[in-house]
Amino acid sequence: MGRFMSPDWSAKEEPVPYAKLDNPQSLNLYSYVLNNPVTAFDNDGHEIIFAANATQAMRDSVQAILADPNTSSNLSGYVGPNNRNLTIQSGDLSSMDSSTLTPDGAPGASITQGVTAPDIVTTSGSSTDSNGVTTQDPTVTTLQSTTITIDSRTSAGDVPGVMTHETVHAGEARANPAQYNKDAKAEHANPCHNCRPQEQRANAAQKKYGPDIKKAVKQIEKDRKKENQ
Amino acid sequence: MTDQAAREKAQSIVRSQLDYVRPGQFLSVQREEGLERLLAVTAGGLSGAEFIYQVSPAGDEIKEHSVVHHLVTDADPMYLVAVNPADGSTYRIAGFRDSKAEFNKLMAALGVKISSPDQAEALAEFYRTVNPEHRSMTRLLGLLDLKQAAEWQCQAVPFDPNERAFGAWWKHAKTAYANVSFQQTASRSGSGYAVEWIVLSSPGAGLCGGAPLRARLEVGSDGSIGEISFRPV
Repeated sequence: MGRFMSPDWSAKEEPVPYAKLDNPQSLNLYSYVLNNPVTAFDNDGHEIIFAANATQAMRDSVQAILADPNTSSNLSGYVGPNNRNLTIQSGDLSSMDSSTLTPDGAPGASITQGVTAPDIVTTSGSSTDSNGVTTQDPTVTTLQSTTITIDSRTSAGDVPGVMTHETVHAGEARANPAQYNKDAKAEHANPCHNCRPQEQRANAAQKKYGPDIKKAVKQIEKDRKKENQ
Repeated sequence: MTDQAAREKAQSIVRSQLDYVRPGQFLSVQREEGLERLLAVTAGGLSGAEFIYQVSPAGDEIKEHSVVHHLVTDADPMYLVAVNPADGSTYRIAGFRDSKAEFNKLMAALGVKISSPDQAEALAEFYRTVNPEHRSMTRLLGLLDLKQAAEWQCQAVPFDPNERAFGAWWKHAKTAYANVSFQQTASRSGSGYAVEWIVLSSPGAGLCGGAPLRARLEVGSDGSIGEISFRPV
C-alpha cells in the first residue's frame, strides 16, 4: 500500500480500496451497477489516491465513473502500472468563488464546486556525440500528476456530477498533456469561464452522464448498506 | 526587507491560508508593478512603496532542463498580498474572506486622504483592479463595450452558429439602453465620495446577455472603502 503514497503527503492518505476487487461480492457490485465489470484495474498498479479528507461520496463517484463505459476512459489512464498519480481530495475552495449580479442589481454567488489541477512537464535537452557535435533533443511533454479537489461545501448528492465534470479534465490532461496545456493557457484569456471549450466539454459530459453516475453511486451506497447488515 | 524576502513572505502567507494546497506544493509569485503604480497614484504619490505580489497555485515552474506547467482548471485562483518592505507588515488584499478589511487596513496604514473627485475615482479604479471581494465590477465605457461584454456572456450557452440568442439580446439592448450615460462620476457623500459607473449584470431570464447596472461605491475621506451597491439604470 505504501508505494502508492506520494512522498510529501499526509501519512493518513490511502489509495482507493480496489483490493475489494478480489472480493466476488464487490465485483458483483460493479456488474450490478452497469453490467460492465471493470477489467482495466490492475491490483498491483492502480494509482488513484484519496487524501484523508476525501469523502465516501467521492470514493463512490470514482468507482461509478470507472465502471461506466461512457466515463471510464477519463480515469482508466490513471489506473495500472506506470501510470500517473491522480489524487482526490476535499478542500475549501471558497476563495475561488465569484459574485454574480441579477439584472435588477441583486447580488448572487457563483460557487466553485471543484477544480482539477494537472502538473504537466515539458522537458528539453541536448546530446553531444563523439565528434563533439551537439544536437538539440526534441522537447517532450508529459503529465506528472493530477489533483482533483472537491469543495467541502459540495453536498454528497452533488459530488457525482461534479466528479464527472472534473474527471473529464483529468482524462483530457492524461490523454494529451501537451494539447491540454496549450488549450488551458489559450482559454484562460477568455474572461467568460463557461465559454472556455475545456469547460464546455466537461459541462456537456456532466449533463449527459452525471445523472447515471449519481444513480450508480446510490446503488453502491445501497449495496454497501446491505453488505454491512 | 528585500524583494526576495517580501516575495517569500507573501508566498508563505498564502500557503498558510489555503487548506487545499499541499505542503511543498508550487505557488507562483509575481510582482505586480502595475498595481504598485496604481496604489502610488491613489495615495497621491506620498507612499506606494509597498510591494504587491500575485500568488497562485497556477503558473510555470522553470527548472534546469524542464518547465512544469501547473494548471488549475475550473477557476482562476489568484491571491494578492501587499508587503511593506520597511516594517514587513502584510495585507491580504485579494482572494481571502477578509480581503476588504485588509484593503482598508492598507489604506489606513498608508494614511491615504481623499479630498477630490479625481482621487476618489483613482481609488475606485485601484479597488476595481484589486477586487478584494471577487465582485462583478468591470467598468463599461459605452454601448459598444456593453455589446462586447454581453457577447462573451452569450458564448456561455451551447454554441449558437447563427448567434440568434445574441441577436435577440442586442435587438432589445440597443433600444433599451441607447440613452444610458456610461460616464463615471464621483460626488460628495457624507464626509467622502460616492463613485458611480456602469457594469453588466449576469444574464436575465430569456436572454443570453445581462443588463447594465449602475454601481455605486462609497469611498471615505480616509481612503476606506464602504458599501458597494448596484441598481438598474
